[in-house]
Amino acid sequence: MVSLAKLREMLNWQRGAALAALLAVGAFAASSAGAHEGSATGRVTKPVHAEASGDKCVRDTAYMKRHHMDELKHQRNETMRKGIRTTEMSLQGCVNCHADKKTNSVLGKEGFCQSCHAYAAVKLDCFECHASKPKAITALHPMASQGVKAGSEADMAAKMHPGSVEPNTTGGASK
Amino acid sequence: MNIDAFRKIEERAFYALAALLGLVVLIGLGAAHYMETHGHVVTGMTNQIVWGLPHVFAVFMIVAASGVLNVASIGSVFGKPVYKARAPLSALLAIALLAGGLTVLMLDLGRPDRLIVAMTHFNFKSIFALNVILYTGFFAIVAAYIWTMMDRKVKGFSKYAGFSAFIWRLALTTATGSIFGFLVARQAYSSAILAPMFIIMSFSYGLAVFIVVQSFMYAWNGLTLDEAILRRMKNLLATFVGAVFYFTIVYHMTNLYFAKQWDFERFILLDGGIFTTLFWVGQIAIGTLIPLAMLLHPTLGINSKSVLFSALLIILGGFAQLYVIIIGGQAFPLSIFPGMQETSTFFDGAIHHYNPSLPEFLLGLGGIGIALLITTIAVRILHFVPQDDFHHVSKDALTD
Amino acid sequence: MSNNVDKTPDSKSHDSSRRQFIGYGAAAMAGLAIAPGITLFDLAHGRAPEEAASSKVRWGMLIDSGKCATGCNDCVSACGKENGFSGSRETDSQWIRKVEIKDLRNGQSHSLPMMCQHCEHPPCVDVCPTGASFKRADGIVLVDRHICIGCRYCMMACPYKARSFVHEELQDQNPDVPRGKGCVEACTLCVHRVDRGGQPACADACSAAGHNAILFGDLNDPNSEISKRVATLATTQVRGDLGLNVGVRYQGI
Repeated sequence: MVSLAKLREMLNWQRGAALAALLAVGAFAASSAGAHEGSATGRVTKPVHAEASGDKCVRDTAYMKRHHMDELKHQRNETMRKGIRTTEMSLQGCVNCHADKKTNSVLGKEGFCQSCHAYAAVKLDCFECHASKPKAITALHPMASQGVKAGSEADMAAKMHPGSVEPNTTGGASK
Repeated sequence: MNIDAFRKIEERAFYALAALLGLVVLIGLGAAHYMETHGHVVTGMTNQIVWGLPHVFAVFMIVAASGVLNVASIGSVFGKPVYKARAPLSALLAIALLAGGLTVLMLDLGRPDRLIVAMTHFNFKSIFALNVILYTGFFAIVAAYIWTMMDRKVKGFSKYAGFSAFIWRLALTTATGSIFGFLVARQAYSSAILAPMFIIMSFSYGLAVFIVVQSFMYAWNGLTLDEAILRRMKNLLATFVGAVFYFTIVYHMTNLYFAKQWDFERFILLDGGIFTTLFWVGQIAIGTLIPLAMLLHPTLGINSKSVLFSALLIILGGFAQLYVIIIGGQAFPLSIFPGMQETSTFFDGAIHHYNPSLPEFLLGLGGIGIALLITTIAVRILHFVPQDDFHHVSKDALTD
Repeated sequence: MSNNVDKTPDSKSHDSSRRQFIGYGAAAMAGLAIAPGITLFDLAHGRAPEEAASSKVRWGMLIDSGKCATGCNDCVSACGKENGFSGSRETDSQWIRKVEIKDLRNGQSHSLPMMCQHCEHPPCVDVCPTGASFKRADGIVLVDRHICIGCRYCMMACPYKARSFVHEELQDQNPDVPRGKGCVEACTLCVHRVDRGGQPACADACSAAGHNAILFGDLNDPNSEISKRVATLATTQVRGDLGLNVGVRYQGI
């Protein structure tokens, strides 16, 4: 039979351990929140991103917040499998409007896609393959689409991605 | 030494072994992570040799997994008591090896994060997709089989479970062989013989792995394997090694009769460099002739140490064989324009080179670590050391 | 040969008019001379964006190795520029490559581009465990990178070594051609151009270089130039013994 004093001692020990664990978790949470340039409340800051360049999105914001992934997935299958290339719900359309004016990209800390996905802690898989920058208008230059022999690789790259002329490495495909 | 002191030492040894194996697994996972973050550019695999060392390890473990279950099948399907006593260990090894092999295979994928895609999207015309089902089914059936062996209430179903597992494992190895057999494009594959050949390879590798693990367990526990049991098992092993040899001969003889296959055969058998060496020295000498001679030798054959040594040689030979099949088969260039000499900037018409890198090797080793870790822990928790009823043994020995 | 495209196939396309592009493709295919600025909507070659690819069409190419110049690499570099890759290491992607073949019996040699042959019965599609490899209704064989797990079984299965695996992380992809680490890829027959009424970059490059060795068209349309030529000339399917009924045919080998 365990004595009452001993039991209390045990409980205290356990309580102490629990308290220590809680403190450790709390400290970790606070420090990780701080890593996000946290606010005083210790919560993750709301994503900040620049305004889109168009005047209106294809649907209202509330709908897009909740359903953009479904729409994109639907569109991706339509385009990939059937060759349907309507532009309303295309990822290219998103990127064209929402690319940050400074970085010319939807990625980066203040990029439209990445800032919000970081906030929501949802892995953003699109831009490992898809371009995170709008299609360069010069890509349609006749020289480019005719596959001329002249023009080095660098020259070509400059034509395809005018954004790369100015340093904007923050918006690259990878973090 | 008293039993308590033995227990204490044994316990310490167990934790040391488990920790060591855990470390091997961790290193393997680290290697996989490195490959995943940097891309396959850090491996020796290229657009010419698309499957490399991880696949050699994975295919060996998967093939051995189905083969190691044979010990249990001989026990419950064919009613041999000596093997019945080994059925739980055999089933456990089957699960452990398959888990190790599949982990390696999965971690080598270009997108291992999409495992869920592989489990939810099936193209039923693909033998790979069929394998996903066969592998998961194998886990389930063998687990059920172990249950029927351990729980007296369902012991009556043991024979049926054992029989299903036997049929399932045949289907599984057929499908594993067919991964290669169904490849019409490459001269090394594209043959139905690969399916039965993989089955017989599984018999051989599986039993060899079983004998190694069993020897280790007996040594660990300070037991000696009964000579009659040893003799039975090594005779069976010799039979399987001979059968693999037979299939190898048939495979190459068939190719030698087809004029269009001559260049490929010359590559493997005569001037393929590392592949020729691995074939003759690795597969034929180390993996076949030396162990056969030892197993059939009147005195060496009944020495448990030399049987263990032969089993280890057979495993080494198995790796050599799979290396030749998987990587040698890809190193020989595709004949896109038969009868023509081909050159291009994409290495057409040239022998492809493969330099395995350390991460690949560590990943493969990690898979073996997983298999051994599962075995080590489960054997200890579930007490799967074969318990022989010597009444049966002596009776069997008489009829041997 | 004036079978292919007009000399100025997309001289005005910088104003990003897709219709105009379609118009040129159609005009060229019909063999008509059309003044710049006129838009046409050809049934076979300009699908509306909302219209799915149809099995009435089967895209294919006819490659004349007699016109293909040894040493000319224009189709390969055009493909790299269009689809965003370069390099010739063993780990680099090559969707199209120039192969020099020499008949050892008579010493005859040929030069030709080799790429995905867009088989009717593609082995890569058969073996793909997830269904990521697939054949579109109009015969174009593609990889759906969204569900490709990177197992490389299709690369083992392809008799033409047409597929490549992306071995490292990529940046700055062409928005029309998503590509990324860990997936398998191959010639798409420039599906993004074809869907807009254009033709593959390699074919454009070949005619720009004045060789006109690559003829692109609809194998199902009896009136198309490619069908007429396939019907009258001796054309070859590479590895025809495999019975895959490829969409890319060769002549002169």
